[in-house]
Amino acid sequence: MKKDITKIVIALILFIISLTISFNPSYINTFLYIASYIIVRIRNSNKSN
Amino acid sequence: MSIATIGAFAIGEFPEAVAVMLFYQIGELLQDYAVDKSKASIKSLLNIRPDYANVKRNNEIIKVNPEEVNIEETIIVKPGERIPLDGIIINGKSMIDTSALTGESVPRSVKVQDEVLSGCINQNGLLEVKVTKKFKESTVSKMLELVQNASDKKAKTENFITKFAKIYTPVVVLTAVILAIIPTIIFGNFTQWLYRALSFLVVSCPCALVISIPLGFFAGIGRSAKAGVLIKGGNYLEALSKTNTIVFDKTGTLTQGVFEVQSINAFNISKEELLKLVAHAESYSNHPIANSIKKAYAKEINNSIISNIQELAGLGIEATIQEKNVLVGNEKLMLQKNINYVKSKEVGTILYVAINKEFAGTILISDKIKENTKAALNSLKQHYIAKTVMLTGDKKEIAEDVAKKLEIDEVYSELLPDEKVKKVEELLKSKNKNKNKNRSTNKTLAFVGDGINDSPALAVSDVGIAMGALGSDAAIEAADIVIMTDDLSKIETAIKISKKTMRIVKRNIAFSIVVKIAILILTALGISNMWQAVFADVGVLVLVVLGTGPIARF
Repeated sequence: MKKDITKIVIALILFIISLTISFNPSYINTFLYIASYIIVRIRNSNKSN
Repeated sequence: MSIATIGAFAIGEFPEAVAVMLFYQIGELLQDYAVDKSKASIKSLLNIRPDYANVKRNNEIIKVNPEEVNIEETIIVKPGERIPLDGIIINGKSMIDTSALTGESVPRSVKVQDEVLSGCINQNGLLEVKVTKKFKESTVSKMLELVQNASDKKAKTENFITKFAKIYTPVVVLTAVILAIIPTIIFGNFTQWLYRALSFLVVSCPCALVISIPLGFFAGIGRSAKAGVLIKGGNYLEALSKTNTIVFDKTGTLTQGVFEVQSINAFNISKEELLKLVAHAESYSNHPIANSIKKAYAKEINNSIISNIQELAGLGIEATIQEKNVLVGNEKLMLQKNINYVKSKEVGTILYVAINKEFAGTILISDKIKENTKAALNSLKQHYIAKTVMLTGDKKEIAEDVAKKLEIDEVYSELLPDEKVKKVEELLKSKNKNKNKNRSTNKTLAFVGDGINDSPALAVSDVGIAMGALGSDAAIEAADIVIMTDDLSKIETAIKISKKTMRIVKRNIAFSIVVKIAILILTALGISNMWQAVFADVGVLVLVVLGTGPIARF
């Protein structure tokens, strides 16, 4: 549970950063979104949704 | 959910794609937390598992795993320790806390020769206990097994939702595909319709429905366990909530199941003297009636004053006590010995006594109604039950007397154990006939017994409830619901919890379905976007999870 919370918090921080700051070049934003997505997905790797 | 996020990535909607997965995971985390917490109330029972036993071997006390202790071995239970195995006290006295098994907070006093059960806590004295059961057969193991298996037996509502989710998911995916393709063909703008279809997929996730129901049942079963009522599965919890007829076994359930002297009517002799003579006359008999007389006398029997005891089959006993001829028995004995007796109008087993061929009085022996029975039945009838029935093997007049005192609606007496089963089956059939006449009636019938000789009746009824089952393996096996104490008011508590659980479960189902349908329509029409869909999905999940809270706090 603690690991899951940590992952979600990290993913949420990356997501909020990407959402609020427009980086130049813009692919940094895309990279942050994808990183955030991958982090939350890792948690669910052995579960089905 | 995966399709929706990948689709959102494909059309370049990165924030939405991440938001869907992120909030979905937050929802899942909350859901896991709620399930864990709910299961914890059941698992708190598992804390009653003893970790070790102090066994006495070769005059040494060794700390071992309870599973390694054999029958007949002696264990030492120190103050504050949990009793690890079932057994009989051979030395010491103490107060024991049985709350983990019974839900009763009042400690029980125990002494030498008393039976103690594993899982209870020894409060003050040091106890030496001779083990009577292996750990696997002990009360604590049986209870743990029962509680652990409770979640496997699913209620109809639970099964319905599981089936519903299986059909629902492909239907929703297909609808989303149609939503993306057909309007595009008609109106064009594929990206817009794909976005709507993906939002549709997000909001359609049935997790709130799928999770809230088992969560509700977990909470209900856990709450009941805390009150000393073990419910073997969600199906029984659901059936209990629909109970409107309760059939009671008399002896041991409504009454104490122990014969006791209720009254003494003495003629030309004191009551004490009459009881003394009768107790001495019955002193060599082990019949339950003789035992109840000896118990009422409560003094030591002086064998030197007894002579010529003669048992008269089917009639009673004739003896010489303090050189007086004493006749103790039924009416037939009085008639046979030509005693001019006064017929008793009391209900129960009447012992007629004659001293030196002169009628000396009567002693009424009967089973005693449990103290809280009447209040518990009245309250049940007032709040939840339409009909109460009593079945007994006892004589008609005794049965009717008990039924009248307890205001029971129907009574069937002089029944053999197999006739009791037939009667329960008849009652079930008549209930089903009424059901056919009125389709809305799907009420259930519960049978309440003391569990040992009532196993078949417990098994055939819709809900079998075993009372006072502490330490009785047969009862735990046969019943669907096990009430650990003799307290009949626990039936009402269990019904109350079951009704509350079902009300909350149904409310959660209705709430989830209504909100989901509303958001689905809004999404398909393009009124709500993917962000709103995400919050609708997670929001509904959080609300239904929070909604099950009152069951545990009830």
